Amino acid sequence: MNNRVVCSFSGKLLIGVMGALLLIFAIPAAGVQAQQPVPEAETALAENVEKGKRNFVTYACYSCHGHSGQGSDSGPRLDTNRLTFPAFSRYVRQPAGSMPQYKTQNQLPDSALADIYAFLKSLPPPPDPKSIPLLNGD
Amino acid sequence: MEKQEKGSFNRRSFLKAAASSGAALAAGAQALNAQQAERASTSAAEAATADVEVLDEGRPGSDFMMDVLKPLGFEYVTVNPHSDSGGLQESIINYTGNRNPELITCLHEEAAVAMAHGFFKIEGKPLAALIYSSVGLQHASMAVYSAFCDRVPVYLLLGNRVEDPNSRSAQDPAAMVRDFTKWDDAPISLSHFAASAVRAYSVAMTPPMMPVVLSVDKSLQEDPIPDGAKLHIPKYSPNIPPQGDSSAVSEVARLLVNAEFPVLAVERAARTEAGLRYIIELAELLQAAVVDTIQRMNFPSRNPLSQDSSAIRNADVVLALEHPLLSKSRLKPDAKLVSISSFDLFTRSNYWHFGHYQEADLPIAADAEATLPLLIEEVKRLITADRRRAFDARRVKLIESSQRARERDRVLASQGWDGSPLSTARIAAELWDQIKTKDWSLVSRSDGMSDWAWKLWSFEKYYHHIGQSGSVGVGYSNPASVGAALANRKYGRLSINLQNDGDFMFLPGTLWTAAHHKIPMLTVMHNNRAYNQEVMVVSRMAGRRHRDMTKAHIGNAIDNPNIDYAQLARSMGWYSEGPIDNPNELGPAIRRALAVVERGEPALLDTITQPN
Repeated sequence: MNNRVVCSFSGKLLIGVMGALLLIFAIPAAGVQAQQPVPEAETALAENVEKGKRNFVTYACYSCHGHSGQGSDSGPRLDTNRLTFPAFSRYVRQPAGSMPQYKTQNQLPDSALADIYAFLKSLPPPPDPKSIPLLNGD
Repeated sequence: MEKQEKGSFNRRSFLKAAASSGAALAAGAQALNAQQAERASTSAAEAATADVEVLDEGRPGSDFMMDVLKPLGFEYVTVNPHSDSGGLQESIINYTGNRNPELITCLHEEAAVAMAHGFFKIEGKPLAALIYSSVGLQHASMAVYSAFCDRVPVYLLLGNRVEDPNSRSAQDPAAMVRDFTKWDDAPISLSHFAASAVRAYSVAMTPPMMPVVLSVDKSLQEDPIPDGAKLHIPKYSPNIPPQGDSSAVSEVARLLVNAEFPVLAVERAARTEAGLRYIIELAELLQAAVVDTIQRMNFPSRNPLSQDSSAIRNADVVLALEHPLLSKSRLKPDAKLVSISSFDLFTRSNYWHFGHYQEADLPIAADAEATLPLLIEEVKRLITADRRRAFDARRVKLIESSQRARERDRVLASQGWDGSPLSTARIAAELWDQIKTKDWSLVSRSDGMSDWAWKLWSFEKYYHHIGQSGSVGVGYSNPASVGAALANRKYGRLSINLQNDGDFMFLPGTLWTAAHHKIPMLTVMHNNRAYNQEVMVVSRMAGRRHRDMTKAHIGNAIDNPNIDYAQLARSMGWYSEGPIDNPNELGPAIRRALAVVERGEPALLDTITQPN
């Protein structure tokens, strides 16, 4: 809880949102085409990731899903490899079960949501449980 | 600690007056009912034979009280000292030599009762808690309620001063907790005390077990035993717990044997190690799924018949064992719900802990553990070769389901494995790696830290786990764990406490009690620096109202400043390390702490954790 950062509700420009989304979805494509990374884009993405990490705490996502989106008995793991941004956004706006509803822009601006998605997308995949000796003993 | 203000009434003068004229008795009896008045006559008769001027030369009443209490087998009396129990306290120290029972000094009455709660869940025997009748009992009341909800007997002795309105005593102190205790009395003579003390023990220890209260008058403790008083100590013989009606039990056996997918739903079913064995035997006989709320150590965590709660939805017959809250709405529409529970044999109405009425098709009011041997014999009698083949096929499916669940848990445990704050799964796994070859006991709830201890450790023996808290009252876990560790001490068991930070700070003085009385245990903090469940509650509320979602921490966070639990523990005589937020430092820290605990001392690791 000591990493909490209080964010305002000022929101961001739509172009910023789209930019973030483009960056998010550009990641696999960039890998496939083996293009040279664009330094400005990388910087922007890093900023999005950093903001998303803060937003993940500010909007209390961590309290159910853990600081790395790993999940707990209160909220599932957030696997962005299996969750597109539109589906992610739809669920956050209209959740099922006991998840709090972040319905309005005032509650959670699209830009902040996109940053959170960028943060989750940036997380390394979890280790193979078979590679962890403590999970394979008696 | 002297809580009692100086009284203006002189007890000796009172006795003189009582002995000479009986006028004081008549005045005091005005507030008593007829039965109490009759007892008061006996008291006065005892008192009238006493020579109050040789008060210090006769044996005090509290010595006789110890003659009554000692055979009941109390190993310890938890106490927060106060003037109105001074007589009893002194008799414990000097008359019975502070041994069986031994006084355990507590820094809060709630801790005194919660320690007794935890002790019982390991040892199966109650402790007495010696508490001041008014302010002390007010402090203790939440812990009394937890024990009541958890069906745990705690023997409350209230020091009270009935004749002095200048004291902070009470006319009827037990009234405050009568809604969540099973029985109480306020003896007014030593004979009365003897009868009520043994009765209280018997009532408390008969299922459904619950706390009982004896209010013990200060004067009765301190005045000499009257010369020639004919005092009798009743012999205590434990009640045989109520067993289910044999024809009804036969019908339960028939339903279970013929079921396609029977489920044993267990809550507080195993009162003892024997109960655990019976449930294993019944489940193995039937190859039935077992769904456990883990309020007691009912069933081994890694037995493949242990299934998650979704199994109930697939059942055609559910046998609920001491599980009165299981709703029939959770079953398929045509499924049968059978209940064996002592719950309806005694309950209270004011504080709601009973849930909706359980619409059981066959409710049996009896103690489940006492009924299981009969049920097992009936099941054995009814099993045919055909049914056994069906059971074996069912076992294969349950094993597959269990293996899938374990694999799923392993995958989930790997998420955030190297993260900081520490993954609660990693804490559980690191601990298990170092305790699994030892004689260990989890002396805290297992439902914190996302149940990882229950998922990753192999719970087999009854003392491996004390179950959950009963009332879910915050503040229970820390003192209950010390009480359970006290029970484990004489067996040389390694006590492990997974301690939520919010719960911890209710009664941190419990650490001093553990250090002072040399109770070895390892406490590992689940320090997420918040009442995290409530963060989620407020978030949901704000979400529903379309309001600001960024402020759910207000009123819930325990930070700024962060509490230094390691320093706090050190200040009270514990070995400690922390805060630890690097996962690679965890294993070595556990090793060092365990070495301390194995020397017979308490140790605490302050681990900074994920929220759940």
